[in-house]
Amino acid sequence: MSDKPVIDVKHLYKQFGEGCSYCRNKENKLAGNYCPVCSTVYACRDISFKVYPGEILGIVGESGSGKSSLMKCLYFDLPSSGGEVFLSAYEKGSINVLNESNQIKKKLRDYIFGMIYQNPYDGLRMNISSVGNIAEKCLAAGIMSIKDILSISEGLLKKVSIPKERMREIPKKFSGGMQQRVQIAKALSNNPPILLLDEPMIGCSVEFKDERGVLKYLTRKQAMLLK
Amino acid sequence: MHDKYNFAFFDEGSKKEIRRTILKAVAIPGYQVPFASREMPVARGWGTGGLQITLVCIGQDDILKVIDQGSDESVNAVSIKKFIKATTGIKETIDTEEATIIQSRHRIPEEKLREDQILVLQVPTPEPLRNFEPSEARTKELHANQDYTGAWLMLFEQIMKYGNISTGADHTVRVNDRYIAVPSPIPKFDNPKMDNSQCLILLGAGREKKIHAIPPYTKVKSIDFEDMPFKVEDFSDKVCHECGSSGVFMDEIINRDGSTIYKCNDTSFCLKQKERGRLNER
Repeated sequence: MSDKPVIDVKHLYKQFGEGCSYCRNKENKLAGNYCPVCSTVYACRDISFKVYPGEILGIVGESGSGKSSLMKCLYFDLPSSGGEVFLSAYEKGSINVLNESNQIKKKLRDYIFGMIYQNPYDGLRMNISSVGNIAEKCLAAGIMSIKDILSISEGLLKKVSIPKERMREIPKKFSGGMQQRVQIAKALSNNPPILLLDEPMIGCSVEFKDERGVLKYLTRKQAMLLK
Repeated sequence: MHDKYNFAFFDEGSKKEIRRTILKAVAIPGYQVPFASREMPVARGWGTGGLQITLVCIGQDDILKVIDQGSDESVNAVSIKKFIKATTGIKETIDTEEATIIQSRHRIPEEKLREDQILVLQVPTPEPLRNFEPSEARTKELHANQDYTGAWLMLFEQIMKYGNISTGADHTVRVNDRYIAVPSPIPKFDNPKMDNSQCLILLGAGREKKIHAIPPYTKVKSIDFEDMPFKVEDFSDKVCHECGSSGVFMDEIINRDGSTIYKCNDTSFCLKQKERGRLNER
């Protein structure tokens, strides 16, 4: 195993609200995860971890404990309030990606991350065909050949058990479980070193062993954060 | 009418503002510059964007040509020409070579334009990503971040649906390797004319209140895929019924007896070729 973590998170924190003199003082107690004085919500406080290639990090917690907020901060859906994140695939892990420009962050999303949202509506464009959704990620990752895009899409859709005949249909017409599987295919299409999965099994039937098989196939090559 | 209005209809302040907008557009090729689009005596959707550009650029020595889908004679082209002439008194022409300002709806003339000419195009929707992203705030962000996946995605969906690139007109272009823009609903056939054009091309959208520009000698590339390159319509096997030209953009006309003939869409070009043909015969 390589000695460098694929993702190295240091003291990440995320707050919703300005904060005040009471809650900024770490000695003072919060009511749950919010400040009793100014109602600022501290979703993530002082999160640090490292994930190495091939590892799966599972994040568990109560509802409202900040798991999705953490995922969103890592995927740049939300601006972080502080901390540092280093990616070995970007500048050999020497630069804190949280401070990089929007254009760099976009490139990281396109080339280094794959994200599967809890709600397929967040991760898919419901009025674009399923193959189109996967194509979107391929195009963003610089794959500009129709043949290559189709070949990648067909391969991935087969892996997630979506029949080829349905690939031109829009996800709106699919069941929730199928929508989630299209999301999985989309997240894998750029072969990212890091996968972020926010409750990916939601809506998938118990018998769907293939999905777990897909995830197993991945862990050989990638690092995953799994909620 | 010339006496009742300021030269070219607008007050000088309006002219200055729109000219500043145009200068900014020329300085940033392909970027849509917002401007305070004025109320005009003609309604939105009838060429007010192009008209405003023409009015602020035109000078007393200019010679004006106005066409609508290739024709100098269509009702709208004539109305616009009459209005500009009435408020400026300048000379008008149908000859593309003679004109110094050409306002056009949805065509670029067949004759190659020169450095001393300005082409003004009328634009209905200036935002190429509008079908992909309805929010203006969001498309502004996409342009700023050069996040153009959506443009190619829409093309990809076309290919999935029809097996090929199927845009007839308004095929999205990339200007100066930076901004994605609309060329206005000109046919695909005319897109290559924008690339490295000698003349200045100004595009105005009155309703959407945006002006963008393609300065002379600017790279303009129609978007496509590595293995599905952009192709124009092929008229090499069609011959114009009136003047005998081939390889120019044609109108297809179906006669009452069911037979099909073709005619040059660019009417003044057709007349010229016809005249040349007549002279050669003598």
